[in-house]
Amino acid sequence: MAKWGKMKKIFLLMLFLIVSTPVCAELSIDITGAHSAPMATGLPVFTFTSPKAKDFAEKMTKVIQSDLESSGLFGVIDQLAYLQKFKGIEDAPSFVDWQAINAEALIQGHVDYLNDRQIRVSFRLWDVFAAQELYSATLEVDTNGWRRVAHMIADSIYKRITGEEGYFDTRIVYIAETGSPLNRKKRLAIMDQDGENHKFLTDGENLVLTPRFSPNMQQITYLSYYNDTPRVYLFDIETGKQQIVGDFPGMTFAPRFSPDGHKLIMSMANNGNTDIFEMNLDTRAVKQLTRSAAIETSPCYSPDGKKIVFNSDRSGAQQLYIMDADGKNVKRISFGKGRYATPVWSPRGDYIAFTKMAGGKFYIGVMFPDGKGERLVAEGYLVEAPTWSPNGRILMYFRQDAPNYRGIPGKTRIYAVDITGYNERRLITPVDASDPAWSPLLSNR
Amino acid sequence: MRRHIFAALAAVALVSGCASTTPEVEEEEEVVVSAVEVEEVEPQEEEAFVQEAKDRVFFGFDKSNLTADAVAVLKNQAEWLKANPETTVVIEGHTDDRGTRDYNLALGERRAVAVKNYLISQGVDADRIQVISYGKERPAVVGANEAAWSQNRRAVTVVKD
Amino acid sequence: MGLRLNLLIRMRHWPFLFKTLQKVRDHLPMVMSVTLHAVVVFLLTYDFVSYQQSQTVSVPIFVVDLTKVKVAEMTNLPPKLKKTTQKKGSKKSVRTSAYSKAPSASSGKSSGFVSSGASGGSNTSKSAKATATVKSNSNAAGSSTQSSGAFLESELNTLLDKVTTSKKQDKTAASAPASNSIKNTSNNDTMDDSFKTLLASVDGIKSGLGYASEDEVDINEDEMVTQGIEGGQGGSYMQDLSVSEKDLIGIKLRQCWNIDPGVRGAQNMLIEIRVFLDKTGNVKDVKILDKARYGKDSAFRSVAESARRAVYICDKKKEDSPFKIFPKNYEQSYETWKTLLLRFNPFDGKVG
Repeated sequence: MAKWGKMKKIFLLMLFLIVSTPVCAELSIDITGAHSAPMATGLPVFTFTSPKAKDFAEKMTKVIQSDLESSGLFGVIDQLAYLQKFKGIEDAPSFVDWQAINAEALIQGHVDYLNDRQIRVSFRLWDVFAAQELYSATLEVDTNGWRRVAHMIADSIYKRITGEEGYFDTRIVYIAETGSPLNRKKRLAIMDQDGENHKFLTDGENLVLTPRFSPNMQQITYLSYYNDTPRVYLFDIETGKQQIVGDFPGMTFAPRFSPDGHKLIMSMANNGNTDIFEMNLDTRAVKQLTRSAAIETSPCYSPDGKKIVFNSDRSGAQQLYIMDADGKNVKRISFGKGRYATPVWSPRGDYIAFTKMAGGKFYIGVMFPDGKGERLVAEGYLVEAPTWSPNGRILMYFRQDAPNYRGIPGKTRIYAVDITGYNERRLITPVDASDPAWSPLLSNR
Repeated sequence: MRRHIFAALAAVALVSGCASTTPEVEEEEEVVVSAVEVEEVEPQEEEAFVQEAKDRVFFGFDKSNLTADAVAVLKNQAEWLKANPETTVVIEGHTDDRGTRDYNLALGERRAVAVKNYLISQGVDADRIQVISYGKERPAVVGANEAAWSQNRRAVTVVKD
Repeated sequence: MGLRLNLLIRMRHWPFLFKTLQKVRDHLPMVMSVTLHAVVVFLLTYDFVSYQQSQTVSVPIFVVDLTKVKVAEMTNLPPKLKKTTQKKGSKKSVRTSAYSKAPSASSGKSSGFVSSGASGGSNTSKSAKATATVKSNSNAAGSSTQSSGAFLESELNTLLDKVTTSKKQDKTAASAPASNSIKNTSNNDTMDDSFKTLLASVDGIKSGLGYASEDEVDINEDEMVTQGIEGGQGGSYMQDLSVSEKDLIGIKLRQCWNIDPGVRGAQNMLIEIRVFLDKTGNVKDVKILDKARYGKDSAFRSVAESARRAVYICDKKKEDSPFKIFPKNYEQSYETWKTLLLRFNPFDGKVG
């Protein structure tokens, strides 16, 4: 009996000791907040085997570098600081060398001719401190497509590091302006998002305004004063042909495509009243979406096509409203001091960007679709017409400086800013520029 | 150029109503209109009158209603139009640049239509009047002050061939 | 012995069983030994690492120094102390502990806690009544707390509420009762006395738990007096790592942490990373814990990788690495800081 008891006691005691110690006794530290600085990146000039690929290697490296740096999220370290020199894509990085210069990411690439007309590009993205390959790919393309491939590589790198789609393989359509402000000549123009490959699309004979891309990129819709009759037109990028949209009794303007590309929404002004109309591009049926004595204009679909945000002065001053795509359930969303205009719904669906006018100044801002969380990201004498990058991270708009005291007008130029309000950059154009519109990712079609 | 002739004729019409002598009419002169401003015709007759050629009316900021001044100008326009029934006009609506592009196009149209409706109410035939809006695209004056902006918020009546 | 005899007598009826039991009885010590060994081996194989660390329980590390009381490490206390920029009435901004994240309790339940826990209040019945009428506008997690630490905090929160609302009420007693949190103004005077005593005790508890008091308090971190609370999940035995040292590690890691502020959903992210250190404070390995989300959520992956990079970048700073504080000050207790759990939260207001 005693032996049993003693055994039991020891057994139970051991069990107790074992079980009573707590499960986790690890030291835990909270880190809240971070800083934000461009990620130091090593981007050695791409290697190449045949000497005639050298040109492509250098040019593509430059394009990738300027793309990544323009986003404000990457800071490419100067080539002179690099300790390792790659000979080919099979060369393994010596992480110690790259860590020594504090590169967080490393991009290693190689270009070579596949045949007479095609080149092959390989690249690898490394996490230097974790000593790990993050991404690698090989692309083949016609030699004259080298720019697009460089943009696509920059997009892959951007996507792998930030987790979001890039925006480098895109184009911008805008209005190129020349001449005295009292007799301005305006032309449709198109270019890559970095300003390269610039092309004028119209000759300036007729006033043209507010161009927008169709989602499938084949067409641009815009307003033209051809024949002294302002109407919405469609411009086919490939053929260069222009076609009037519908047969409306009054001026049509402010056109935009629906996300599926089958419909066009726009304003029509007739008899002193402006309302929003929708036209089905397949059936050419027209539907009136707003019926009010106020001015309704600048309509824009949500990315899912279910709602439309627009500008109306029915409250006495310009404000932003949301309605269903069929025109029902109109709801006001802007309530701040000032006038709100040109609403554009982010492709991510999480913000609506707008132009705000208050206190004699103009602003570009964003708000949530319920109207809350208003934040201003740019300001000036005149800043207007925000357009979203396809990943919803960058807002592009145009800025016009005030004329000086002698009446000499200020310049009109396109700028872009991150939605966090940082990294405002100017887009270089051959002449003055306004009304920018950003295309979707070309590679997504 | 048509604008200029209309202005001249308007001046003549005014003058002919009150002067005893018939002034010289200047309509034979081909005057080139500069892009900057509308040339105002100097009345020829001795009687000084300060009536300026009025082919335009002005509006308040973000407004499209006709002021008393505007109404007075438009009355004269209507009289001239009724006296010249074979002419047609285009009312151009304009705004200053302190607003956004789309909205200003709509506002310009509102202003032009306000003028058109008034002329119709004064007995001018509706078929003779067309409207067009230029929004903020065709300012009359460049400047970053109220003097310039007020000059740009206008509706201009242009006589067509 | 008596029990055994009884068993034997019963066993006679099952001869086979009886025989087996006899064998067992003969070799009883052996059997017991084998069983116990099996139990220990079984428990050890199921990651029973903490058994080793439990040895620190027996070592009283907690040193009470009258001039400088050190801190017990509790992961579920607020990570750092906030200096209040005081706006009377915005008391919600004071509390930023982990408890606040849980949904707020119904007022009935929390008042129940208060009445049971109100110490030093002589008029406990009166105070209970008062709390019942006070509409609890604290956002403390009353119903969803699981540990005693949280329990105490919710009490504290409601106590604070009571205190401040009564203070407010005192001030606005003359004016119209605009405050809708206190309905019965007639109990004003009687509440005063009980509140005074409550205030005293609350102030004591408040300072004890390290909350900034409702009045302006200039918090000098060296003079910080906090008491750890035993129990709860994730308690640790690093009882002598002071708040300022812990903050320093967090600050240094923050400086190494570079993120893209526009990443979608970064506002609601919490990245947990386990770091393995060697005896000299160098990083041996870094592991991101939420593998599932890492694989699915590309935005999470992006932020998680940046946090992992932050650890490596800080480690590469050699002597400036935040982890060097361990071999420097806590060389003897390597077992306690061999692995660290780092919890990265990108947004605490804004990115600096």
